[in-house]
Amino acid sequence: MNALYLAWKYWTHYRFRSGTLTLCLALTFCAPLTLKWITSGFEKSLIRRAELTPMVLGSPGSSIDLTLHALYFQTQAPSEISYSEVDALESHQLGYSVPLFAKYQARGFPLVGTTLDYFSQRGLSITKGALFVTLGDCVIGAEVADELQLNVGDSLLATTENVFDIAGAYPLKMKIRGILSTSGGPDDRAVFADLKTTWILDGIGHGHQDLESSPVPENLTFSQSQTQIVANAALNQYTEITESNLDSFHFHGDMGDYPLTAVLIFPDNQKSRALLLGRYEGSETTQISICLEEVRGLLGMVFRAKQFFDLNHALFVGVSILFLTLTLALSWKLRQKEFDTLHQIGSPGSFVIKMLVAELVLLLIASAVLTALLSAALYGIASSLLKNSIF
Amino acid sequence: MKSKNTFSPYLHSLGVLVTATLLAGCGSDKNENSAGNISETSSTPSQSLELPIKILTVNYPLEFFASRIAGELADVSYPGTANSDPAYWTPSTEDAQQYQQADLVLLNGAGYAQWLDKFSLPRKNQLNTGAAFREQWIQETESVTHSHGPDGEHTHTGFATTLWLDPMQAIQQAGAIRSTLSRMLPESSRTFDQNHRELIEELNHLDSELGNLLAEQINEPWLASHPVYQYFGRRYELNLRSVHWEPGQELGSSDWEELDQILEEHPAKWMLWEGEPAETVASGLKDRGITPVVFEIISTQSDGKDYLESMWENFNRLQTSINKNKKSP
Repeated sequence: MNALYLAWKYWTHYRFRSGTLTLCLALTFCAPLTLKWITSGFEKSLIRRAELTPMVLGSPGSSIDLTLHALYFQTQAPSEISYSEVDALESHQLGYSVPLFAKYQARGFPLVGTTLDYFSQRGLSITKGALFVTLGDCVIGAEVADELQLNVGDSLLATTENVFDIAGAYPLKMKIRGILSTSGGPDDRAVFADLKTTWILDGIGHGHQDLESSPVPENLTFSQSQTQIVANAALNQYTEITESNLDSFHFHGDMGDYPLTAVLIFPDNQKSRALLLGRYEGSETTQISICLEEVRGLLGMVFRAKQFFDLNHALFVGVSILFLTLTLALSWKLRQKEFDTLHQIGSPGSFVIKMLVAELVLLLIASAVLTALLSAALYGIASSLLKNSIF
Repeated sequence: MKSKNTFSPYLHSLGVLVTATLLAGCGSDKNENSAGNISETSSTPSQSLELPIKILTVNYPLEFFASRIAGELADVSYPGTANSDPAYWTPSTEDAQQYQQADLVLLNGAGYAQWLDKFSLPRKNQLNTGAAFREQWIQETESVTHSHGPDGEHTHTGFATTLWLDPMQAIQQAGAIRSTLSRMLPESSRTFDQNHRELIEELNHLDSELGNLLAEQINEPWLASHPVYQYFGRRYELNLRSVHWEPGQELGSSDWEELDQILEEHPAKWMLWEGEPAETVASGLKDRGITPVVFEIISTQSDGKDYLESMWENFNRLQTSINKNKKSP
């Protein structure tokens, strides 16, 4: 008689016992496996994002804050740098740069002011609509669109830092020009607009009633001379950029002085990278952060913590396996009569071994399947929780 | 008893095997943490360019320079209309999207094309052809709001923008275009170099002839109907002052009074015009001993003439006017 058949019969006859053993084994392996998947996915995603963004230029301060700000838009940048840094970077002709100004939010999601190069550099594509074209346009990540139930053509209100700042800029109603395809990264949970749009939020640019070409209503005038009109607070400042008022929007001051929170740098090659690092070494106004090094440093801390959990799991698994071995050994001892009967009816000594191995294999296969299912379910839940709460 | 002895050693070994297998399985991930051999080479924007490459410009002179240098390797165009001043033209959304999708967008620099402040273009596709001589841009001191044509009111502030009216600056702009094209299409760099050389020769010839023609006018007072000849005036060392008159525009008494005041301290004999002045204006100028000379600024192409043809026409009109003035007592 087939050993596997007998093993299967034994397994199905003692369903409860077999099921309990399978569940015990599955639960024992499920936790470390899920943790391994999560940490491995977390690591891969962090490393990949860092690899795609070799260097970040920003103001001096915490380099990890700067890196996480530039890569994930979550942490505040140490401080601001001026736009002239982008021109200075490009004057070296050692690579290519993408400026970022991520200081504000739109309905709880980070609002990232950047240039269109960001999308080509990150390989992001549009699933609906188009990339931003004019001031006041924005493009939203796939998860932003899902969560806020927004579509192309809808409006999204960008909010300034502090609602109690009465001298601050007005909130800006932006028009959604496009929705990004899902990328599986932080870009899915961000809102993107042209740098100039975010500078309007910062109060550097604005649009208002034209005081030069038409007679100025008295209630708007604070003082007036032949060369200068000073309007009072009743002057209507636009909080939405439309085709009809687009021309009235303008910026004050030198663009080189406008703020940025970070600049992503993509050096042409390793030599350019080294030259850039050399040129910014010792700079008191800026710092260059090497994303991969920063992320590896961060992961180093995470993995030191993980080692503790790994040890804990190893002990737990070891104890569970010893218990299982004991259980099986006792079970085999209790089944001695059954083995004797098999021997007496002519089964060779190796047949019993084959049958027990078959039972074990069945147990391991069932446990492996159940472990995979449980781990997949746990991984799904944990990764979505982690994605929303960490990056 | 016998049977016990038969199976006991096997059972023991099997128990050890189970234990060892399971323990080995759970220790497998010990040091699979950080990325190991991650390459630190950076990524650069990859461009796969299809010929002819698409180049859009913000005015006609840049379209001309790029067409001459790139030849058939590029499809060069300026999407604005001929009757609209590119400095104050605003593109439609579709036009702006065309600019976004172009392989190269040629900018003039000096704050030219005010629409650039209100639209989004990728940085990597832009070439500011005037950036190399940024220090030489002329800061405008006047700020007057006025209107002409279909573009509505506008104000001249910031930098003077007509860089291309100085052939030497045009040469620098052309040089920037050649370098960028050679970087984009290195296999065609010899073609670009050859085309560029020919263009530079023609621009140098034009500059030399203008220099000879205006050599006697160095530091002489000249007038301009509009503040658009700053670079031209600086190149040939003309003592140039501008008013804000438009071709075809009739002038009021205050305009003439303003001119008379200027003439008291700036006795100019010529006034440069972007187009023919109204007859009454031309007559009023002649009464004051001023010869109006049309010197097109060529920001858009007119009557199918290219940049060099228009500049030579400008030269001929200047030459005729100066020679006529020499003959008359």
